[in-house]
Amino acid sequence: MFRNYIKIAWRNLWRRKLFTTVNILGMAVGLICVAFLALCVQQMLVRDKFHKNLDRLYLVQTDNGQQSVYPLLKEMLASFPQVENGTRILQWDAPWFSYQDKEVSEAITYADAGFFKVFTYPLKYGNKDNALKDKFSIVLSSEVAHKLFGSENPVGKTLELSDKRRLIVSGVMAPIPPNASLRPAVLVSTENLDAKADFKDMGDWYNCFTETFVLLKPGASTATVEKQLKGVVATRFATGAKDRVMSLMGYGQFANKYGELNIGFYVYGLSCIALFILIIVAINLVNLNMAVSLTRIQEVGVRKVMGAGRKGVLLQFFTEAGLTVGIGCLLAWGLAFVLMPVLNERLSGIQLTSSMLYSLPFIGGWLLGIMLLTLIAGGYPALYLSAVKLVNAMKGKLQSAPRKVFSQRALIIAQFVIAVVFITGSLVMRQQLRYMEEGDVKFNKAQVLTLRLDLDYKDTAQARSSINALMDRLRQYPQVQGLSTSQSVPGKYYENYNTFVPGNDQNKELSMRQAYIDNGFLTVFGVHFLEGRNFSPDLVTDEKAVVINQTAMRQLGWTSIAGKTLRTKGGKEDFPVIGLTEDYHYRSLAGSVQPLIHFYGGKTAMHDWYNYLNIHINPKDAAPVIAMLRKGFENIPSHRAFSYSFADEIFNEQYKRIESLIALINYFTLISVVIACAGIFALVSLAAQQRTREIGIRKVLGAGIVSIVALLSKDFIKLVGIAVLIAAPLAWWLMNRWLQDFAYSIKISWWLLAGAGLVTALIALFTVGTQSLKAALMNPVKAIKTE
Amino acid sequence: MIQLKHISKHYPVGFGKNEVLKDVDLTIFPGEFVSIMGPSGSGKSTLLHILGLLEEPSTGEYLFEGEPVQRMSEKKRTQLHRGSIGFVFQAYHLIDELTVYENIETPLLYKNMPASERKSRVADVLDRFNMVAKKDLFPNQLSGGQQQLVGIARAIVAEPRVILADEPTGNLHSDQARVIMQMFKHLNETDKITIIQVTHSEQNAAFGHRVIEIRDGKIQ
Repeated sequence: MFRNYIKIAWRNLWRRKLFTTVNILGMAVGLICVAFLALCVQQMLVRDKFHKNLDRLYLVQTDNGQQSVYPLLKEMLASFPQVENGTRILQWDAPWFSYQDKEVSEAITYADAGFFKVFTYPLKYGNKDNALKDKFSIVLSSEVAHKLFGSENPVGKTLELSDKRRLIVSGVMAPIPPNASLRPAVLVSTENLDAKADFKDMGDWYNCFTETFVLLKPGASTATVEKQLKGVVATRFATGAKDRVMSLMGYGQFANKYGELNIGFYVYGLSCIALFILIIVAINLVNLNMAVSLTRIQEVGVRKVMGAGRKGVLLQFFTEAGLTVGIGCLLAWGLAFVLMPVLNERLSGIQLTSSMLYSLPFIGGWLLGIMLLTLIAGGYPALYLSAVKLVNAMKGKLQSAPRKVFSQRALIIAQFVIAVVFITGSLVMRQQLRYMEEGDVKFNKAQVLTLRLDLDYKDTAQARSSINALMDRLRQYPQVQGLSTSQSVPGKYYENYNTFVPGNDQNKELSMRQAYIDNGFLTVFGVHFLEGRNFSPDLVTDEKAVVINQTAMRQLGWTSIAGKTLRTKGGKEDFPVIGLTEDYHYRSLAGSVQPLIHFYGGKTAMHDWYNYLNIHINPKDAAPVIAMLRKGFENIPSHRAFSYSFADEIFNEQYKRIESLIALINYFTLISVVIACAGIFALVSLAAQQRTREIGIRKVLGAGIVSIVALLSKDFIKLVGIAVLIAAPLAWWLMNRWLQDFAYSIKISWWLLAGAGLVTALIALFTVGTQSLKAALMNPVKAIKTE
Repeated sequence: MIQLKHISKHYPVGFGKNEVLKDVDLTIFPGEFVSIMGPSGSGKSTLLHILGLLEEPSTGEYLFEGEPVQRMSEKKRTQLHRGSIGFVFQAYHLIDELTVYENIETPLLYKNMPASERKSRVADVLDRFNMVAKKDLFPNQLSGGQQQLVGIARAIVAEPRVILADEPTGNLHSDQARVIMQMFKHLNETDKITIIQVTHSEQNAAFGHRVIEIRDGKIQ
């Protein structure tokens, strides 16, 4: 019996290939989204939950963040009876590690011997009891171990660091689970850091740069520990730090409070989106199944007359719905494997792995989903059809043709509102991006070639002379119109701020971004001077001079820089302001220009603090110059490879986040359009089938194809029209809110909204039109005969 | 076998009602071959539908093999459809997605008959109707007459005691019609199946034992 149901279901699906394809594809697309969203939510919910001692594991936080003073842990381990163990975590340097001919650069995570007791990071090789016990031990992540040693066991091997340290591998961590917040690449004991010359005296009772984690004894009270911490602040902390408040935060909260993502918000938000998509998929499925089922009312009648009974009919429809849902789910599941890498590329702060797709809870959820969707998708048509009166069924008559159901129309409108909003969003974002990329940044973006100078040279002195010689050669080229070396370039200015006060008025203060440049920088980048002059290598006094931008002058309340000086807050030395530049955009156009101060870092030459070499050159003439430089750099041994780019490329890198946002929005646009079209496709097919006879009669009476297409389409197009009318102001409002975050933004023009509406309407028209045309082209005799 | 007592059927039309059957009394004995005749709109199809439990009468009593139909549960009626009553329709009403074989097999599936018995029954019927060669074809690959033969085969495969046929030859030309009617006659005579058919044709009616004339909802 059941085999018979499956057979019929299969043949039915096969007979309506197009319909089935649309149905299944629409569902699969929706379900992939749901699956991915569910996995993301699940990953967030199990964030850091793998640590065995999670309930006793705490971060010692201060009132202004997750970092505390460096010596705190030692004090706690020594004098806090309720603290069982603990570890500090901090990063200080990122040297190159080499083993034989292989090398990698990784930031070292310094930790204490208790690290592997406090956290649950199993070791693949080595013993966790003594992995970080001594000063010269290093524990590698499995990725780093693989890069340096391949698949062999590296325990006991010696690594050379670019700063001349030598460390012995004491362990390799097993792959870190994707839901871990802390993902150290290499771990070294803090004892090693203590011995480093450049770290000495940093670990005082004032500076906060260390994360301190403690494992409390079972049953310990956090209140007692916090009380004791108060005592430590009072007795040990440096003057100026005595007002700090320390507290314990359970490690389970760590990711939520200090991680990249606001997990609580995302769990809630993503669950809502997933549920929303699931509902749309379910409603679409009901509509589509209903559309097919209604054409089979006579078959239902025949089967009942043959003794199928209500149960038989119900079972058959559930089997068919189950088959459709099953195929859709299977397809979605398969596609999820294919699409996972694409998704991972766009995710930050969370990573999904294929193994999650065949984890037991996921499969269980998936099966539950199949059953639920089958019940929903099959249930409505099955109940409706099995209840149809036999004699009516035999005549192919429906008791009440559900032609204009409110829920259906509301669904169509809602789906198209979403589609229009997404299309508008995508268009607006794209336009804003183009506006920013093409906007006037008030510096020479097109004709500056920039080379990286911070290549981790193996012999710095030799590199310096070679590069200076290369620069001399560059000056010989007629194409090269200017040279500059600098700490940063537009788009890459450091987050380096200092507070300055005017030399003559110390009540005023202004926080400014500061950077070091040479005498060529402002010339090469074509920045206009409004007043004063550039740095000059011939004047010794310029070593203490500064150049500021217009915003800085305005915010200082000056109208001219003549005779003005600045000093750092609390400093004694006055820096004469010798130049005032126009407000050029040293950061992306997303923000407005902020106060900027340039110090003179010495004349154009290779220095340790200069990271870039900037060459004023027309890109058309750059090829021979680049070839010469590439050859020159080949002779300078370094860890990093020679690399160059043009100033506009570097500058536009700042827009990467918007670009990936646009890519994400484009996916959502596609999904919303596919689902909306699948829905409308089903309903127009349903309408065409229900009105087959009417269409036939109209054709016999002389109705043209156009009028019949119009007859079938006009209702749907009307709904799409309503959707556009609702969506346009909504999209306008939403996108204006988005644009508010930009200092320089486009105005959303009416034609953009109209365009989005038109595109949506055209897509809908095409979907509906093809189905209506099929109905309109049908032989009228056939249509009339079906009764 | 079938006994109708004071059966009436009416449909609501606007504020009034449309009486289709008026106080019909009818008895049909086992093994009879009865033809119901009458002009369009006389109520003969409604009568057949009531006989076949597709519709319920508005008033009156209907005894099927001595049991009152009005008091039967939905389940019991389904049982009757499974085992006792076979239907043949003017428009054949074969299931398009199923082959000839599968169409014939379907009533047996609903009877939960074991596979081996099912197979032999269907094979038997196919053989008897000379359709073994066509068993894997789909309905739309057959002529109207052949489709109706499949329809009859399907109606008798579950060995019902009565076959109800609603203008079984209405869509067929006369040669095909004769084949179908001979089949009915044969089934009636050799298998002792009670046959009740609605027809317009005197020729078809002549195959049966008795003609029931119906006019304006009343048996003449």
